[in-house]
Amino acid sequence: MRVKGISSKLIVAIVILIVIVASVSAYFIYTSQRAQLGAPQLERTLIIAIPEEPEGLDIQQVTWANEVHGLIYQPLVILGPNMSIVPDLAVSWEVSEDGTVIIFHLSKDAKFSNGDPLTAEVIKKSIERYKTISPYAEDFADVERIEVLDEYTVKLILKRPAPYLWAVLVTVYGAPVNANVAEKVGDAEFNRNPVGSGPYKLVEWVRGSHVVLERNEYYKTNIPFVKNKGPNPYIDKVIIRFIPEDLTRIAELEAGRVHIVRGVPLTEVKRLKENPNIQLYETLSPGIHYIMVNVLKEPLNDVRVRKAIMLAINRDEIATVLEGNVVPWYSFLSPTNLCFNKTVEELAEKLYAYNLEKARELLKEAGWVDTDGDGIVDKNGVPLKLTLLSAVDDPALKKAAPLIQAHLAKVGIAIEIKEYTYDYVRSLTREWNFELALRRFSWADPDILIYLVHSEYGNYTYSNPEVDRLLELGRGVVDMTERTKVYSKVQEILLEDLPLIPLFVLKEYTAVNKNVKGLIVLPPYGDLIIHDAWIEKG
Amino acid sequence: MIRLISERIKLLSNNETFKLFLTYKRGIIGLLLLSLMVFLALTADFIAPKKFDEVDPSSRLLPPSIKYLFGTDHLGRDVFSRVIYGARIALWVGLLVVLVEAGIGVPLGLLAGFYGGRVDKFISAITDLIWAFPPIVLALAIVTILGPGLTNVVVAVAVVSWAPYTRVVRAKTLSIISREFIIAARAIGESSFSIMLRYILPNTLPPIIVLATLTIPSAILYTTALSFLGFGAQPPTPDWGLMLSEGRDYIFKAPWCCVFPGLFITLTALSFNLLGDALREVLDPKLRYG
Amino acid sequence: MGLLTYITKKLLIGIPVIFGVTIILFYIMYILPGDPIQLLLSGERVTPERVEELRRAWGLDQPVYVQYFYWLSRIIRGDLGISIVTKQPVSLLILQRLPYTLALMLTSILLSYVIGVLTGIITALKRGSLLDSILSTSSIICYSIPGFWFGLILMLIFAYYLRLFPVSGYEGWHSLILPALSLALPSSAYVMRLTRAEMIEVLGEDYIRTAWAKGLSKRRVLLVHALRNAIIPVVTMFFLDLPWLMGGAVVIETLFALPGMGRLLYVSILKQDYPVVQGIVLIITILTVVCNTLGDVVIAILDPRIRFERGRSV
Repeated sequence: MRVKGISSKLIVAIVILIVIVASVSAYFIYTSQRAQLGAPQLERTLIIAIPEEPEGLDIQQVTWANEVHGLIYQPLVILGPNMSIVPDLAVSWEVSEDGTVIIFHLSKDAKFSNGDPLTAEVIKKSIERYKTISPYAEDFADVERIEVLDEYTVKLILKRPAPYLWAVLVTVYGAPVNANVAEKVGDAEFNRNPVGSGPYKLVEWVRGSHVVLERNEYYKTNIPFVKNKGPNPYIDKVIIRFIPEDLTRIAELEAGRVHIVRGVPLTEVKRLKENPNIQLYETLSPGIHYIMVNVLKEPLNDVRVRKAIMLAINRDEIATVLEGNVVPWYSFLSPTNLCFNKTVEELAEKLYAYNLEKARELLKEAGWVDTDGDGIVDKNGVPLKLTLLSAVDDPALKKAAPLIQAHLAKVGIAIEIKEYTYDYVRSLTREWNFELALRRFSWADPDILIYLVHSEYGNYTYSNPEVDRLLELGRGVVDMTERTKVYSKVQEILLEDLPLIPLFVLKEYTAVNKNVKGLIVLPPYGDLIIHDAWIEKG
Repeated sequence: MIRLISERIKLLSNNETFKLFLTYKRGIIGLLLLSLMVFLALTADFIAPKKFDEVDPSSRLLPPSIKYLFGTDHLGRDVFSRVIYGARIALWVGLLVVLVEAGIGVPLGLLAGFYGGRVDKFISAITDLIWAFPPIVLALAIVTILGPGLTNVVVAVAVVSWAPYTRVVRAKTLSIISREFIIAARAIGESSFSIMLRYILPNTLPPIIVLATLTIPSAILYTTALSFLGFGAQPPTPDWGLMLSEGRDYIFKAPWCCVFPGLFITLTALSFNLLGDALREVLDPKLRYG
Repeated sequence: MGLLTYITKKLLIGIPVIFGVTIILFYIMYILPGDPIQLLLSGERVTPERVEELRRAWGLDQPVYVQYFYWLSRIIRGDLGISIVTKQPVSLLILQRLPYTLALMLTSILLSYVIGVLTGIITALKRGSLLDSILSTSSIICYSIPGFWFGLILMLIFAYYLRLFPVSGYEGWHSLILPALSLALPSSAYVMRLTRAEMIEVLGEDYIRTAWAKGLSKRRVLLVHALRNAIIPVVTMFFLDLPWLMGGAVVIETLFALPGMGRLLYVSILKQDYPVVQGIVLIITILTVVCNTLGDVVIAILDPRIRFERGRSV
């Protein structure tokens, strides 16, 4: 028996319900969509597409910064095109002979984007806030005291010379925030609605979609290599869209709906280079991609095995598979690092150029030979099998992993790949729970090494008192030539010990529509300098 | 036990049933397709022109040709060889998932149906609870705990989808528990365990076989989906889902890296679905699962 | 058993299930590998003291049952916690993504029901014809195709070669078509099979034969009498289908980079953003329980026979 009366009414009711819900959500999406694209003022509005939404906008609370922070904040100083430090917010600065006192002079009319005066007092407060709130609070650990000499002069008194501090000061991490506002509205609100002194200020943040930035009319800079030291008169608004899908980001650029794309996927570089409407800016990453080795674990505690791995990897083949978007690399500091030394890289390349014979010999010397003819070398009946941790969310590392596996198979080392997210791989290496792990870093100051190979700071498996000593020494050397010597020495020791096996340096690309003129993409981080930029119509 | 199963199988190959089966053309097509996949899986070592993990960056992303039937992928591996080796993995995974599912679901169903009362209530509550989770979502959560890997994916998929077995076996058990031969067995003092094993289980086999045939394709679809998301098989395993995931970056440049693995997933799932439909008609026309 | 009692009973059964779900969910998230604090700090420049400080701030140093009851009392008040990564309320994050997921699911349900019911009716009427066997066979093929592969192929053909739709991401309603199609494919096949079976059954019943005999127009018989009755189980399937679509949405939204809840789940799993994963799985699961219960209730209202059967056994 079927009940006829109720059923038809019920069906009608369900259908109506579906239609209502559908139209309401359609309307919701439609309106939010309209807001997203805004009015068609392309020539006054710059649209940038980046892969990831920032986790927060307070530079002192986030763990990583991107283009949004880059436009909202203004560092005291920045790295110029030839890797020298030039002024930005600060007019000038002095460093005492022994490097323990730094004095910054500010412009008299410096203001935050909300019009509050940017005085020495606020800078002091801002740095103090960083020391209590930031996950990188350690950055300013050597700053013992901050003194306000007058309204426009601030003095940093250090416990010891700390040249590595400059690496922080030249990035947005070191930029002052309006700590008075943060205090008033609370840290959580400030993370949503920050106030800095950068060229643009936040107007709206639509989660999962984009942020809208508006010109900061109080902006003033001392960057020597830009012509326009005030607010950019040609670009009123900057919209930064978060588009996680690589191909969509590129499609939006090619369709002319986006002017600048960050995080250009390696597989698209070749095609974009051939596109006459698009300009590709190339910057070399200030870090390297490498294999971290657990030097405490059998058989990787034998340096000969590590050397064999180093020798057996064919980096040129990795570069081929990554379509030429990486530079094969053998030492630990990239060319865009402040203490890069070409002779170290040359030495490394001479020592460890791809050589299967030598690799096999080293393994044999260490007692690893293929006795049972299964293609895997063994020792005391144990075959040489290692696990390599790879990252699903790092395309370069992910694609390199199976190649490395194939390379090592040639010398009889069996590799099992385990893919996790990059963050999880890092946490496994921090717990010493790994054998080989694909890793990367991106930091222009050589002090980054202290967090990777120093026995206490980094707390990874490697420990060498001489390296510890040199790294601690290197932090404090003010003279750059002297400092480079220290880190070259560190690299030479690391080349003997190989706790890290360098693979390549990544080329990073920014793709820009050619109607954007006057843009500067600043190495090593590829910061966008849009002070002198304008967008031609059409 | 073995005697009873073999009797069952005899019944399966019983002339009339077999004739009925023959009349289902689709079932035959499914069987043929499945045989092809099994053949590929068994003889992969001989048919595949290359090893599945043989990389050759100098001949990467080549389109299909005589030398590379299905083209090459971004590492210069032969897609044809990888797809053939993939059959081995897909079939093995499908089988394994079903075995684990049945291993959990069937005993629970038997117990629930046989003892009834509190046991039944308890087991039914657990089944309801598992039923409440959308499978892919819960499997994702479990794989996150266990870590990536094919074995872990098998476990995760099985753990979230054994409930139909319990329900079917329980229902079947309830339907025969009061039959004469069971009562007779009780009367001559057979233990509960032996009654379940010797009298009830064999009777639940037809729906289990049908259910198994129909859950293998969804097991294959789930595991490949998890591999596609990057939580399953690890490189260089020639898992079809992983191949799709790796080929996705090159979908426009080298579509063959994605087209062929997906086609084979479809064909394999199709073979089981066709076969399962036919088996259902033959063995258990009233079963409405899958 | 009265209808009301039955419905009340069904609803009450849902409560312990949801409670069980919260325990399982919390436990899953608790034993997840990886220290959320370690994962949170993605840079290299971090000291152990800082890690300890943050752990205390997040309440991760409390015993597990304390953490559970904190969590439970919060979710009862509608507070799903704060995302570790973005530091935004989880409920807010979900609400922002929900419209996209709902729009995707509704489009896909619309598609699968239009396609499924139509082909179902046609095959039922032309039972045994060539068209019937072609459509019936293609329905089996349809649910053998993995949705994510079908999505890739659609993307290749319609977005890349023909440039009719965006490749991925959300740009407007037309961004939903390809994902909805990929999601609708298997369920349209099920809808078709069910409609076909029900139509065939209904067409054989007495009152339809009477209607034929009375000489009512063919259209009237089909639309008013046969379809109306055949569609009841199809409509109830809607409720049972919804949670499965949710699972599919995780894969499809990830593939097409739609900013929906499924993609948020995927990204949060990658980032080990526990509170967000917990929140989304909780909501999807509660929705499943509610849908299952609603499905039972609707069936019970529409067809009293089933109530007894389902209440007792399967």
